[in-house]
Amino acid sequence: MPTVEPAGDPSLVISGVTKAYGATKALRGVSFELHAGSVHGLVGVNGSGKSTLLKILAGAERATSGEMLLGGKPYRPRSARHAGQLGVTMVPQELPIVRRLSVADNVVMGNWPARAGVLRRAEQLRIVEQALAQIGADLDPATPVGDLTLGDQQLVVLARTLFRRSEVVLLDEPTSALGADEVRRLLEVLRATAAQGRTVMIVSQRLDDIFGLCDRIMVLREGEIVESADVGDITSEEVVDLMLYGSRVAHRPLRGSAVALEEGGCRRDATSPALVVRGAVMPGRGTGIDVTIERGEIVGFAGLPGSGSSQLLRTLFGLTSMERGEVRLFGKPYSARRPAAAVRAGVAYVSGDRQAEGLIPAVSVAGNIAMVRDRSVFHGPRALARTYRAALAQIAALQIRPGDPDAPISTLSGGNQQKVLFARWALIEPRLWLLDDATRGVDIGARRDIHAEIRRRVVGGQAAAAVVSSDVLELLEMCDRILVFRQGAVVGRFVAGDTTAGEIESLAASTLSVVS
Amino acid sequence: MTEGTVRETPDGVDGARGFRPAGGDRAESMGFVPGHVAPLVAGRTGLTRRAGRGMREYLGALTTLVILVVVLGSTESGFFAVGNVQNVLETNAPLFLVSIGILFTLISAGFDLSVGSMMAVSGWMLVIFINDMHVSPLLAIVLAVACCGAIGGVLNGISIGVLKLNFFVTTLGSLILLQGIIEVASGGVTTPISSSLLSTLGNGTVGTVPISFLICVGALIVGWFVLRKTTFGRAVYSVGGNPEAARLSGVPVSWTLVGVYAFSGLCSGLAGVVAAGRLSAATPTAGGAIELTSAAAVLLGGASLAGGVGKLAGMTCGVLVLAVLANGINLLGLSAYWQDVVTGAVLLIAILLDRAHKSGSFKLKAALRSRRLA
Repeated sequence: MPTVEPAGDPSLVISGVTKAYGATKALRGVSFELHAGSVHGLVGVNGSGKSTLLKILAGAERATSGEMLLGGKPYRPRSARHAGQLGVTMVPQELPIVRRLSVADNVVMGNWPARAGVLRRAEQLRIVEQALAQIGADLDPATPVGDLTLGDQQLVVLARTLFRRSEVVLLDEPTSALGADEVRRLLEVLRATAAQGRTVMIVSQRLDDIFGLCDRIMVLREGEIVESADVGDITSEEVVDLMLYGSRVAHRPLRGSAVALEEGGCRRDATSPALVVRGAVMPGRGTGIDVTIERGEIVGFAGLPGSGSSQLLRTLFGLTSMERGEVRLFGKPYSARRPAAAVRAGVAYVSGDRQAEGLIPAVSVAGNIAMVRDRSVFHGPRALARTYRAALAQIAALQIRPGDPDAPISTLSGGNQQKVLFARWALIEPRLWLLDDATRGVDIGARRDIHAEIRRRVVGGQAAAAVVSSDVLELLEMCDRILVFRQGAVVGRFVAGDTTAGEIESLAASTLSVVS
Repeated sequence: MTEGTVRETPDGVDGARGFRPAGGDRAESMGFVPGHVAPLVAGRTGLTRRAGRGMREYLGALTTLVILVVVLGSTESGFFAVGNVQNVLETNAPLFLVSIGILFTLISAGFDLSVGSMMAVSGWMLVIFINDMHVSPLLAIVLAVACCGAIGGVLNGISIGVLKLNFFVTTLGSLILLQGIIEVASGGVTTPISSSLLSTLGNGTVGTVPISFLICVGALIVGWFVLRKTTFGRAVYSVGGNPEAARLSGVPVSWTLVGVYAFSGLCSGLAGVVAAGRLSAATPTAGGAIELTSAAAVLLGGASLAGGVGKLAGMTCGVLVLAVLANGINLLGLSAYWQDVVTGAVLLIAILLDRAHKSGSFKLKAALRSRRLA
């Protein structure tokens, strides 16, 4: 590894990398250069080969063909561990931390300073504090990592890459679960990391973050790099077109959501609201939340993690309890003590944490879709067959790929798995949809399919939806109205067309108490 | 895991830019500079806080122990008698030793069901070495313990750590296999061993302190040092807490597990020696159902089947709770059968209380209130 590199020299060069899984080609000859001191962004819809590429760079998989050079020498990692020794580290979405161990132990994990196997605590503390100071993280080394916020946990992992002298740091969706403030801080840390002459590449669905952070953007589509440009030379609209259609010139169909929005607007029935929440207080916080959602309406809840937006959804689904407050669902008093009661009342809850809260891994696509409708153990073979046919219809309607109902759910990409969750709930025709960051990590194409399907189901006025998303742009695109949550209270109410992402984000993050 | 991995620098480039992990900066580590003071301060505050946090893990066991001792001490005059205390410590020495090993396996997110059989193996080794081969007793004891460590490391450790077999099935297999071998070899009968050293280990005292108790204290100190002060101990917590993170961080997961089960074997072996010493004989049923009693003690002491958690202090409290309970039942003149009833009940109550503590009494109250509202 070269000691000092003149700025601009490529540190990692990828040329003609391909990867085939049997007959399917995930990568069809990818070539690019990463430069020391720069931050690179890689974008692409789900299934474009991003994950495969990352795995190959990080040593978790091997390329079928192609060459990689690290600092001018051939780079052929045998494993993630080996890649780390060579100076390339990936920070996966699921952070590699041990929650029970302290910050200090996690930063130097696996390389605890020791003499003949006996730990040297003073030395370890000195090393760790240096590493934390270098990335500007103000953390107590003695705190168990499990007590930190997700954003701070990420800083711990970044401090570890620093400690290991990783020349190249790859981050997979680092911002997808962070609030705006935490994203800003992470971006600063990554900038500082790059400024030390290291190479940073992030993979993200959030174009905002990519544009806010990166020097260069690479667009991957169907296993090929279709564009590689400096951020100044490309717009986010163009990037979206490149991701979806492979060229900067849009052949974009009419924006489905915009059209549907008008439809939804005129058919709305305001006589009796779908959902009325009065004076809801969550345990330990807030002064009382008032929310009304009309029939046929989609309302977005914006707010940082912990603002109470997501908690309200969970309360409505009977996952957590409310301290005080009254809820009416389609005119009738409603209180779900358990999810089963909520489901009986026609309430659907889709979580973005599909691995933990959604999918049953060993079950087929159809089995996963049938789960809610066939929740009774007394359903006989005829009912099961009916559900199976309904599941087939949903697979077609939501364009779930591959369309094989009997395929194991694990063979689907993330976006398609998320569609399966929607299909599952669609089968029981819910009257109230609760979407809790339900499109997290889902690409733009699948996201639009899901938005369109929700809009179609809500429009007739027989249903309503409440949407929480960490991506304000998604709320603006999908919702009729947006409520801004902060510290367990609603601090702002907007009609989606009359506001901007900046206005909502600054209100959600503001420490002043503004009530509008 | 060795010293120096920290200092490893790619191609020997020593901190030309960026962060310098260890070494270097001699001026800073030698001189009295703020960089040297700060960690000490942070270390102290961190230490006190961690002690408080750590206590919470086994607060239930500690409280139960204190209550039991106070109640029994004030109602039963014989409880604090020297003879009784000696008896409690001696009787439970094998359980204590086995539990140290069990704690290690639980922290690594596993379990060792074969500890009881291993105790029998240890006794049988003594028979072979002392009775048949006439090896000196001290050497025989060392060999017996070492054999158990080796068997644990190879049979359980390699299977679980390297071959990635399930710990439950593996150690269940070992339990049955080893027990069977001992039954076959011994013909199912108890064999006396005549060795004064051995019976001293089991029944002797220094002043009024039982030697078996001193062995326990020694093992406790060694266990504490290994768990808290070595990279191996840190690796055990990492592997149990998040195996994937440990693997990605370069922790040698497989060998850590081999070490854990070898250590458990050593502990059982030592327990087997003490048990044989108490009887001056090796018996095929030396271990009894000790793996389950030990699991109860260690779980009572705050360890978790999910791994990554557990402390020797908690384990000690757990063992003492069970020991004092048994003794109390004895002193009260109740049938020994009551012991299991009470032990089971205490375990269940402890877990319930722990659950209430973790979810927070506040939350429980809130849940009750919302239920009334609904």
